[in-house]
Amino acid sequence: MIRIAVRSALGSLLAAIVGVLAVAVVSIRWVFPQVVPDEFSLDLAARTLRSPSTHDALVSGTVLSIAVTLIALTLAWPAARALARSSGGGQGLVVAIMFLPSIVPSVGLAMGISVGLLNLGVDGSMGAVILAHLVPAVPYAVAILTATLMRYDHRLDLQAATLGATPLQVLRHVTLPQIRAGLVAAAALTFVVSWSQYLLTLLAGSGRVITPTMLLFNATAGGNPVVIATLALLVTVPVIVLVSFASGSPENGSDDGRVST
Amino acid sequence: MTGLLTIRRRSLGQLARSPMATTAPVAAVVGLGAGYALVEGVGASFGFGAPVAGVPIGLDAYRRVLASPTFWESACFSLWIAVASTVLGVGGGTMISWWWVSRPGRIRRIDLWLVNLTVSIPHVAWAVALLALLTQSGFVARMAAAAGVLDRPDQFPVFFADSAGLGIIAHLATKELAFVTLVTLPLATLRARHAVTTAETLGATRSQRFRLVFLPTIAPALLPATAVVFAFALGSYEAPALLGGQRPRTLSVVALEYFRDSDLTRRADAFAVSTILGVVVLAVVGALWLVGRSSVRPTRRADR
Amino acid sequence: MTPFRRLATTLVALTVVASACSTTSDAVPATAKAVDVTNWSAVVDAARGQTVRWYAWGGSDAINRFIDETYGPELKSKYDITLERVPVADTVDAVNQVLAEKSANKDPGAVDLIWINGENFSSLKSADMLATGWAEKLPNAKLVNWDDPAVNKDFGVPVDGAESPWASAQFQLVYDTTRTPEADLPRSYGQLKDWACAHPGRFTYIAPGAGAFQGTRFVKQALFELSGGAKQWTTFDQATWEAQQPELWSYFNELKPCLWRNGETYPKDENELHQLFANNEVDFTVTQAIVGPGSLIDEGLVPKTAKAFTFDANSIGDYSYVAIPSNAAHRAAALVLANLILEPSRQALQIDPANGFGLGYAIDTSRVTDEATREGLDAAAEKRGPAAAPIDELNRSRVSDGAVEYQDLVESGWRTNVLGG
Repeated sequence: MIRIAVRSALGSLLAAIVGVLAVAVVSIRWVFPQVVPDEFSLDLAARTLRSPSTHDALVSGTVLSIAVTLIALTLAWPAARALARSSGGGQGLVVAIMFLPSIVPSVGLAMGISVGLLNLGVDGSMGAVILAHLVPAVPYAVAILTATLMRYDHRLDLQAATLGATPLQVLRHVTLPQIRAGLVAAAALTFVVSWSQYLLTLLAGSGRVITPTMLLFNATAGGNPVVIATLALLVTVPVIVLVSFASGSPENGSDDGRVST
Repeated sequence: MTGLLTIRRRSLGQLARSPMATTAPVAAVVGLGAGYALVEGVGASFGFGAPVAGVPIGLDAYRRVLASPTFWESACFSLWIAVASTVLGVGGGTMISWWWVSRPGRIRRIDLWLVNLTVSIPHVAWAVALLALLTQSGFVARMAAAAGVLDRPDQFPVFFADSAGLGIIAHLATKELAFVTLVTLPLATLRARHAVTTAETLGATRSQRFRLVFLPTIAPALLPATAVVFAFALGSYEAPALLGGQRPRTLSVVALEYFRDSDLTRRADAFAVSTILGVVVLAVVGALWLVGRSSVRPTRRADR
Repeated sequence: MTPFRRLATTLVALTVVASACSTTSDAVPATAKAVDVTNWSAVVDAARGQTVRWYAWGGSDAINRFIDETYGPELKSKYDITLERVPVADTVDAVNQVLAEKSANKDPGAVDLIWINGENFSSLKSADMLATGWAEKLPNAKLVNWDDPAVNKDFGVPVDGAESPWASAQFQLVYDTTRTPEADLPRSYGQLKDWACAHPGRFTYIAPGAGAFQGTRFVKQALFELSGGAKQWTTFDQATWEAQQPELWSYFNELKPCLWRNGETYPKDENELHQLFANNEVDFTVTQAIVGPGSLIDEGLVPKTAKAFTFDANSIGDYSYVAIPSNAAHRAAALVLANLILEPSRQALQIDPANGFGLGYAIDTSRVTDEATREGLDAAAEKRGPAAAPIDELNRSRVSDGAVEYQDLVESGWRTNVLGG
């Protein structure tokens, strides 16, 4: 009963959020008191989607987030494996370091990182923004991968090794197939972390690296509601798709509470 | 497995595969990034490493910031928003976790999907959508008008650019609620459910099960989550920037304004504000840690 | 090293290298900067193949599109110059960029051209970060009436050839003909207060502040009216300001309780005000466009029945310009673009509301020698559309903006005395 209530509440909220944006995209002059728009038009939305600045932002944003995801996962993998297996004291230290970006107020974090990049002389470039995004992205990747690997029985790896497999073969044929769902979830959600960044991209990129999220924020500071809604959907739809990929994995606690032996 | 700090004679290869080496790159990127930002920020607030001449070392930035006529107003506003949204988010998230595990059966994928989505949708988009829904001439107001409840926009309640920050709180609380649910769910399903069921068979009331079994069991996830949620609410920029008005403004918005001032000496002021925010977060994290020490049931190291 | 760590190290190394490379990729040899404007063919040659980074306020999609479509293709096909429009939320961001580059001794810098005027122009000029002496030497400069003080002085600051005009604008109010009959329109600030208090909650204005110059302008115009005229404000005098400001703030404080949301909050930019107007929360909005709300109607931002009007007097009109930072990497291309902006064919496009810009000419059409071109310009000006305010109304009420020092005083004074009070 309660579950249905919560599901309906969340579901309606999300439906309202996406719905109101979707209707705004296909209408024009949708103002009070119209519940259903009086006039429909795809011109503004089409123009926004066709515009070169939108294309550039889409390309930059995608490249940026893919790069961040790949690097974050690559860095996170060995750390996650170590964290999943070890029970030593050092684990606490690493976890504490991972925790740090979430505790530092994001305004201060973004300002500090951008000054650091400025001092290195690299601010305003795609590389700088990638580095900046890694700070929130890597802990996220580590957390998800650690959770994934904790459920993975690494003795399978050892068995394969004793049977003569090289580390690479073990990885390809034993480990990865088993944790594929978790890996996909980690990749999808890390991508979303990078995709959603505004302040870090703004400050680290000195406003020169434009992602769809940045376009959206700029559009709100004086823009056409149809354009704003179009960009908002442009930002949100990939997130919905990626989260759908990620949500099927068991790491999110969808099991029925059996304690793993 | 060998501990991190034990240095024995071993081959370079073994050293390279040790936990310290494999976690080092990750720790470096994150630790250097966030750590540098912290140190740099605090240092800059005292005048170190200023981008232009004319910034004295000392408490000047703090004096200027605290002397600003709107500082206390902004500080109270920021604190109010952070506390209100954290209470709602943590409270709501805990309740949802509790409801979901106090009934048998799997958590459905659709529920997880909904919660994940709520967490993942970027803040800028979430704020834009909330505006479209809840402004005085927004969608909900129009439905009310169609239903005959009101006929002018100014009869609809005010959520945005208001002195109570209601819209900002709604934005933060909804996202944080989903976040807390997500973070507490693994512990809730893996450990708490079992313990709660046991407690039920032993005759514990619902309230006892919740307070004395469920909460302590999820505390290892709930307490850090509360810290993260509070830190986020206090330092969040996008939500107050998009949903707030000119007065009062949150400290995060004020900090960024100082940072982007063409007068580069104001950077120190920006970092002074963010350091103040950091200190508040530190205090709250400390308090939560104390709560954690007194109420967390020690977990058995053998269950892994 | 495990395969993963090899990969990780390589990726991070590549990132660092990539970021180092991309900041130097558009370094231009210093010789390209020293450009002699009078030798125009040399300028065009030097500009060939360059990319010009034009930092312009990006808050209007219509204007963004106008810039891309009006200048981009011409630059490419005629001069082989690529136009890169860099949107900024506020022109002061571009100013800060240049100033930051100055303190970091960054040369060449990221900014080639800025859409600029007033306070922002003044800060860059006094920081010595603008190329000077070029604007009056452009081939098309002969079409500009440089003798007109409205052109050769920007907020009272002499232009000194450091910026070239782009378009002209004038502050107007916009109303909805279906909601407010023309006879009921307030025609002065005094009448505005009466109207607002007779219709509580139906009027508001943009909060004066950095980047919200239309709000500042609205308050300044009240200052002009209350003090008896705009002329005395063209030169800065502290005493005059001290004497006059109490009356100014008491006017706005008396107006406050009659405003939307009881004057406790104000829209922070014009699009927010347009939204309030369109959604029937308030009955007036503002525009600077010579064509009135024509472009706004086409964009679907205001109702089709919207129309512009001015008070009987004290409506600030001015020019906006383009300026070239002294550390611009592509000065030649910037010069070519500034010249192209003044081209009659381009100027004619900017006044047509259908093109999304709707601001007036920077050139003096009487200086155009070619008969057909001049007629084309005049015909374009006719096409301002039914939503535009009548030309005589505009001309009758136009005044120049005040000295640049008043901008800050008005903005901070309003924040302290009206918003805070």
